[in-house]
Amino acid sequence: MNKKMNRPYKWQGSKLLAITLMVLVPALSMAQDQSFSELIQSARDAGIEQSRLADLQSRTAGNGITDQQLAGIIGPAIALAEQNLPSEMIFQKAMEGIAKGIPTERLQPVLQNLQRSTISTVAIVDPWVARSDVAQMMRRSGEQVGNQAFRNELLKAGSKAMAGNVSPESLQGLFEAIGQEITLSRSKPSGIVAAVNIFPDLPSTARQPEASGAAIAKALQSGFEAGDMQKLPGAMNAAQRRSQLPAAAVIEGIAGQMVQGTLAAQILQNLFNGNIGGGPPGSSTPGLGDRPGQGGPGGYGVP
Amino acid sequence: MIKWMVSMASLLILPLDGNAQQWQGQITVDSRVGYSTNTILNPFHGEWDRSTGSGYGLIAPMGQLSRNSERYSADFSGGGVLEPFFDGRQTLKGGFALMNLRRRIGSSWSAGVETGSRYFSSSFDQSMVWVQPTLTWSPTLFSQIRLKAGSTFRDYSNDYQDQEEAEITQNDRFDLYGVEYEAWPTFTWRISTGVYGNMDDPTDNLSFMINSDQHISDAFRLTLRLNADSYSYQLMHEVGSGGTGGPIGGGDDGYITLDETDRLLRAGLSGRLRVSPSFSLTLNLDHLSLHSSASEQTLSDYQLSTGVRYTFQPSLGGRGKARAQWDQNGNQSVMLKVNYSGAGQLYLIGDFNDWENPGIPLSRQSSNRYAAQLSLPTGSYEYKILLIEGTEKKWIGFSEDTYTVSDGFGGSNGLVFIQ
Repeated sequence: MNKKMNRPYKWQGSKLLAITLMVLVPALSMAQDQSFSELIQSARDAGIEQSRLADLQSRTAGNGITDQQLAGIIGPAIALAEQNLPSEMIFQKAMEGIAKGIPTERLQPVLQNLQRSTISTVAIVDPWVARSDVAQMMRRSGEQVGNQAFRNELLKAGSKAMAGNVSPESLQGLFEAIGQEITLSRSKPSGIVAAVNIFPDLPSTARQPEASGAAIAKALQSGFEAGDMQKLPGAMNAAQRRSQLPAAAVIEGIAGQMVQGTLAAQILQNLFNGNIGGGPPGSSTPGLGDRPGQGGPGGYGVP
Repeated sequence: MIKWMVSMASLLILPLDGNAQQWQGQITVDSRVGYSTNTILNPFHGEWDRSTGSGYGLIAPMGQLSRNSERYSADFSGGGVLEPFFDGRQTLKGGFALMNLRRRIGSSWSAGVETGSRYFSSSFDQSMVWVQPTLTWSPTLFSQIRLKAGSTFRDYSNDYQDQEEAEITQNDRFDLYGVEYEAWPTFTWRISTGVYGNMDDPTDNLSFMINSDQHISDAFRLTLRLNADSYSYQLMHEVGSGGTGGPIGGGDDGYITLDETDRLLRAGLSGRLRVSPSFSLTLNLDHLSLHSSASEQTLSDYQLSTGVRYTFQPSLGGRGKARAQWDQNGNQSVMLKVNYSGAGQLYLIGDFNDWENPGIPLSRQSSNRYAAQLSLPTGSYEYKILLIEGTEKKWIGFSEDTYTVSDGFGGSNGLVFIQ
């Protein structure tokens, strides 16, 4: 009996739910559309170029990404642009993620992390770029790079470093190391940008960031330019693995390695110069037997 | 001894399997012509003979293989030598093999063993085997101290068949030690010093070495070497006559035993000019000065040589990976060259094309060489190489010597700076 009595209520409940959904879904959709439109508008207001937004929209649409997911991608860029900070790297990282088929739930945290690290980096980079000796370095270098472009490149490199688990203190330490007078006097803007770019990739950075900073400063003082700098992480990694000693301490002919591509050259150079003659250690112990004054075999010699 | 060496090698090499990095190799062929007044200054010769000054030639093909993992590394070197003399003396010919093994034992310590052997023959037969454990400490970022001690076994016999001199056969064992210090004042300048001695009498007959190795430019490298050695021995002097050469021992009427010392100074200067990625020109100057307290004589010898060096680095185990090389031709014009072995079409994709698939096609220049010409403003750019084979798309990994950075997604990108 009770079962029969309950049936009309069940039917009425389902009907009510269906009606509610029919009303709510379009309303939610409209709200989302409105919300997304507002987001796009706020992006434009923040100074992000419409063409850039259109590029991203067309790329996401082609990859089945919803407007809601797109909003999560654009959000960090808008947050940066609203603070007058460069947002281009957010777009580039988003494009890269889409090209690589990274799911949006993995893409969004990466972009948010990049946004946060950019904000932290500004506090380090802007005062450094504003220094008079840095401005003097830029003028002297003769490189065709503007102050804003230089600052943005440093922000890009610094924020990537921080997104890669480099602490603000470590990054600050790097800028102090490369900001020494002797280093700046021998550096160019492109070398400085390269120095910040390679910082997270040096094998000593994780445990000894100050050591990495010192190694980078020494490289700049040695006249390394951007092209040389980008070979430094690979060279130091190879040196560390080969000698089984800490990174920079075993840069066994590192300049030679970067030129020739391998540390092997140093050993072969020694061979060529006859330094294997005596085996261990030293080179000249045997073979001095008939030197004057020593009439016969003695010491290490032969007649 | 041999068993011990094999055991040591096995212990150190076995962990290199598994997650080891790929093999790296280098082949070098050195050729040289020169003149010396003492054969001990000749490359590889190692025996004192200043009977006549002579011109010489040299050709020495050499190879090296390296392999390493997180805690272990190994280097294997070997080569052959042919060194003819222009005065009719017998050609020096022979070969050598070296093995260096290292294991990391602490944050700034590593231990290992260096071992090698060589055999050379000319008017003599000379063979040598040595093994020495090493302990290396890196006290600061740009310095290291290495302790080494071991034994050298040396066999020597002359081959004066057509001469009246007596044939001599000698088997020696030297127990030697060394303390070396190396420092890098800059990335392009290395200074190394060392003191070496005999473990039987550690403070006697010391040998000192100092080397300065300076990369003047990418193409030119200069090395300065200084060595100082002293050799003490006892010699019987005839009382009153001042003659030399008597039997060592003393006590006979008319003879006294005196301590004598030979001091040897050697200075060398080497320059190498790279004229192409594979070829270098070399110039070597050596001077040797020997002062003997017994004869009160000072002798001087020199060696001068010049040559051509060919260096080749074969690709070992890197198949399926791309080696990217960027050349900046003008202000903004850059050429990317990619070495890759495999089927399919390669595309360049990165920050410069907004990571748009499939990217910029790389044109095939030879069987494993691809290239693309781009115009890029100053800045840093991340990129990847995409392989499309039929309907299949695949990202190509980079070789170890291509600069890569983390992409934040668990993978890596190539990175290039445009100046």
